[in-house]
Amino acid sequence: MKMVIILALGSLILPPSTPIYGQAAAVVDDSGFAGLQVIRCDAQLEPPAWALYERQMIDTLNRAGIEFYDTYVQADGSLEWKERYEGGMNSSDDAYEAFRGYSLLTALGGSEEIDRRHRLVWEGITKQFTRYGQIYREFDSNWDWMHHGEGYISLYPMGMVEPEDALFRDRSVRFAAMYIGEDPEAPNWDPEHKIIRSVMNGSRGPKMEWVKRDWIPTNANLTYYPLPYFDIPGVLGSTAWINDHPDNDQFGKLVKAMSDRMAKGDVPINLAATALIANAYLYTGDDKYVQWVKDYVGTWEKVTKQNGGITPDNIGLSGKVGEYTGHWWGGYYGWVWPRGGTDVVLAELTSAKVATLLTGDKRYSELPRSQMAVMREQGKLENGKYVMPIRHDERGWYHYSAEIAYPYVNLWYLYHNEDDWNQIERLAEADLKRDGQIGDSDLAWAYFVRGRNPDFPIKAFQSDFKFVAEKLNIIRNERGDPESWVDNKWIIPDPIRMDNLVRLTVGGMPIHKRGEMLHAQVRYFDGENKRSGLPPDVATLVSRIEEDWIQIEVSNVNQFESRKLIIQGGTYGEHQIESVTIHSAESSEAVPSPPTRIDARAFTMELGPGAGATVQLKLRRYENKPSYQFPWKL
Amino acid sequence: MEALKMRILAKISIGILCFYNIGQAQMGSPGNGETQAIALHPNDPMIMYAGAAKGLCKTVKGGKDDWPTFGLDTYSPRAVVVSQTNPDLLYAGTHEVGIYRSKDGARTWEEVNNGISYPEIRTMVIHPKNDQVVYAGTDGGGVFKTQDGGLSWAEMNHGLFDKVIRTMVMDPRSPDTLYAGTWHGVYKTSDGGENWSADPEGLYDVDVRTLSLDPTNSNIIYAGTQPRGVFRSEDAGQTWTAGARPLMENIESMAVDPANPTHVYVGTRAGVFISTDKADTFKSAGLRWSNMAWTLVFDPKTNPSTLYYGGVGGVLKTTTQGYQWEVTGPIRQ
Repeated sequence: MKMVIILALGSLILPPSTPIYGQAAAVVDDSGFAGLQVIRCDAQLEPPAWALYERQMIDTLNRAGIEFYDTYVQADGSLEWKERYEGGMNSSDDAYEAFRGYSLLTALGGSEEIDRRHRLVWEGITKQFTRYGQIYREFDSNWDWMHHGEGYISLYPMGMVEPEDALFRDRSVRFAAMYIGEDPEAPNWDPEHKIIRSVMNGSRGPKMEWVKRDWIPTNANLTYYPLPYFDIPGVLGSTAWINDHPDNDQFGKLVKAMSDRMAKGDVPINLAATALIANAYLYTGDDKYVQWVKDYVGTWEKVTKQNGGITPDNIGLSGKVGEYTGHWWGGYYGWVWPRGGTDVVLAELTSAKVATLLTGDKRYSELPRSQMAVMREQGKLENGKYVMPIRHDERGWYHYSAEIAYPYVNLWYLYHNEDDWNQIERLAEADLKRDGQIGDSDLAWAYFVRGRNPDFPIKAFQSDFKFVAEKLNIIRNERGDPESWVDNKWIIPDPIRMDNLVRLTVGGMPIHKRGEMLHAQVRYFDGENKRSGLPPDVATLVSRIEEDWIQIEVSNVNQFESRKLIIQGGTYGEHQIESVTIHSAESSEAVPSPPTRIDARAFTMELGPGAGATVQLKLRRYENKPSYQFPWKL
Repeated sequence: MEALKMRILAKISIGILCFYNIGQAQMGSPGNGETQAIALHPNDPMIMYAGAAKGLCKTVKGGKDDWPTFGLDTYSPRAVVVSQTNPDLLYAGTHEVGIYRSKDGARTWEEVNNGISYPEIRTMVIHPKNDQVVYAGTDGGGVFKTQDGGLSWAEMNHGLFDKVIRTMVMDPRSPDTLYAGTWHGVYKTSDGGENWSADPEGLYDVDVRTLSLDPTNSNIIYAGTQPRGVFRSEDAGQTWTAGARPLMENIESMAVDPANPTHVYVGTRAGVFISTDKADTFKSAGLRWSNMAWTLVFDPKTNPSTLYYGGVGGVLKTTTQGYQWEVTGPIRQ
C-alpha cells in the first residue's frame, strides 16, 4: 500500500537551500526496502556549496588514502620501516593509528577499497609488530590505555563496515576476553575488586614490574617532560631518563621507583578499555559485556565518591586508593603527570559515552563532568583569561591552563545538559570577545549545530582541503630513510582527516582521543548497494542538534539518477526515530510536511535526481540495543 | 618510493646490512626522528646542524630551541658538511636524492647532482681551505668528488674495489690524503681520490664502519669495525693493531677528543664507550640504552670539549666523559 504525501509549501529552515524546480513530494511505503519505511523526495534542490564540497572531500580522501597506502605500505601489508625494532613496551599504536580514518571513511561513505586496504595493512602491521615483539596473539603485549586507545581507535569502525566479518568479530571477542576475565593467559581483570590489575596490560596480562628495557626507547622522548617524581635520591632532572652510566644510573633508579609506585593497580586511563568491550558487544549483543562496563565504570564512580568527588588516579591491588603512592594522586597518567586532570577526564569521557550507549543511562556523564567542575572551581582569572589548575600533588593544585572546550562539547552533543552548554557558551563568547571569532573547532561546530555559526561547514571543508594538500605534498616528495624514521612516522603524512566529515555528515565529534568510538546523531547506509555510508552523490549535513530532535540537510547532487539513503538513529541504531518531518526547498512559501511516524531505528529516503530537502528527526535517545549490524538485518 | 623499495630489497639480498635500530618520537630533538648527522659551525658554538628524519634542522641557540627544519623536509640528510672558511656554505648528502647545497646558512637549497650517478650518499668530507672541493661516499657507487662547489662531480673509484663506502676522513694537514672505510676494509688515497689502494696486509676484509684521525697527529688513525672492535694505526694506515681488549659491540661512530687525543669515544648499538688509552681498552660512557649512535662529534671550541651524540635520542651532549648527558631541546611543561 502506498500513501503519497504531497508536501505543502512552506518556509525553509536554512537559507542556503535554493529552490529551482519540480514538485515537493513524499511517499511513505510501509512495505519498502527490507522492512524499512520509505519516504520519497523529488523536490529539486540546487546542490548547495557544502554538498559539493562534501562529495569532493569524500572523493579526495578516497584517492589520498590510496596514495598514502601505496607510498608507505609494502606488498605484504607491512609498513616500510626497519627490519628490527626493539621497542620495549612501546608498541604498535602509532602504526595502527596512522590508518584510523580508513574504515571510518568507508563507514561514512568512502570507497570500499579504502576499507579493504585498511584490513590488509592491519594484518601487515600485526605480523610486523609480532615479529618485533610488541604484539602477541594479535594484541599489544603490554602497554597503557593511553596508547592502546590511540591504536585501537582504528579497530572499531571495521565493525560498522562489515558487521558480519567473522575474522574481526572473533578478534574483537578474543580481545575483550583479555579484559573481562575470560582469558587465563591475560588476567588483566580482577573480578573481586572490579579493577584492571595494572596500568600496563594486554595480551600477556598485567605487567606489574618494570625494568629499564621496558622503557627503551620511550625514555629518550620522556626527557622532554617533567619527572614523574622529585623525591628520588640522585634523580634531579628529566635527563635522568637518558643517564645510565654505570656510576650514575639515574635511569635505573627512576624506573625502579616507577615500578614500585605505579606498576601495580588500576588508573583512570584504563577506562578507555570500555570501548574495546563495547566493540565486542556491538558485534555479539552479549549482555556480559554490558555488565562488565557497568562494573568497571562503577568502580571509578565509587572511588570518586569516596574521595570527596575527585577521581583518584591510583587504586592498589587490594582495592585501596593510594596503596603504593600514599595519596589519591601520583598514578600513571594521573593528576601529577604533565596533562594532569585532562587525561583523567578524557578517559572518563570515553567510558561515559560507552556506558550510556550500552545501558541508556545518562548518569555516567557525571563522572567526567564532575572532574571538569573540580578543576574549574579552582580556577582564577589570569591576564583577563580564566585558567584552571590541571595538576595536583602535595603542594595542592597547580599548573594553571586555559580550559579546553572538548569535554564540554563532548558532553553536550550527546547528553544535552544545559549546564554543559553554558560552559560552551562561556568559552565561545570569550573567544568572540577577544578575537572576534571562535578559534576552537569544537566550539565552532557546537555553535553551528545550534544555528549560530552558519559559515562553519564551508570553512571546515576548505581547511580540510588545505590539510590534505599539505599531506599529499609530503607523500609525493617522500625520499626519507626508513632507518631513521621513528614510530610515529606514518601519522605525520596521514591525509585522511575525518574530523569535519564526522561533524558535518553525522553530527559526531572527531575520534582521536583515548580510544574513543564514534558516537553520532545518525548514520547512513546505501540502500541500493546494501553497504554502510552515504550512497554515491548524496551529501548530508547535520545542521541542528537538540535534545529530542535533530535536523539534516540532504542533497542528491546527481541530476540523472535516484538514490536510496537509509538514515539510522545513532551510530549503532541506539536512538529510536519517532517521526520525520520534511521541509522541501520548493519555494519560500513552503511549509513542512506533516510529521511521518517512523517509530523505528531507521528509515529509507528515496531521493530523486537532483532532489534535496531539510529533514527533521524526532528522536528517543538511547532507547535501542546498539549494534554494528545493518538496520535491515535486525 | 619504488626506488626506495628496490634499494631495501637490494640491501637484504646482498646481505650487507642488518637493521637493529630503534626509534621513538622525539618531541624536543631535531626533525622528529633519529639524528644521523651533526655538523658544527666553525666559529659559533651556538649554531649546529642536524640531519634528521624530517630534513635538515638547525639551531642557533646551542640546541635550546626547537631545532626547526631548514629545508629538505622529506629527505633524510645522512651527511652534512660546513665550509670552514665560509660558514654559510653547506652541503647535505641525502639518503636517496643525492646532494644539496646551501649558500645562505641552510635558508635555501639547490640540488647539485651533476655527475652523481649513485645518489645514496652516506658520508661527505670537505676540504678545510678550499670549500669548492668536496668528496661524497655512497652506499654502493663509490666516491664522487667536486672541485667546483658541486656544479659537477666526478667518480673517483680507481683502485676502489669495494664501492660500499661507510665513512671517510681527510687528513687536514694534507687534504689530498683521505681514508675510506668500506664494507671490506680501509682504502687510502694520497692524490685527492685519483687512486685508491688497500693493503692486503693492512685492515682488509673487515667491515669498517667509522674512521677517526688523531687531531694532533695525522699518522694516528682509528678504525671502528663490525664485529672486530677498534683498530689503531700509528703509521698512517700501513699497519693496524687491535686493542688489548677489543670492544665487541656493533660500532657505528667514533670521535677523538681534541683536547685529550688519547681519549677515544665510540658509539655502538649498546651505548657509548670511552677509551683513555688510545683504544686499547674501553669502558661505558653511558647511553647504554641507546641502540643506535649514528654519529659522535666533538666541538673543540668549547671548554671542556663537548661531545655530541646523534642517534635515537636526537642530539645529546656531554662534557663529563659520558657520566652525565644532557638533551639539546627544550623541556615541555
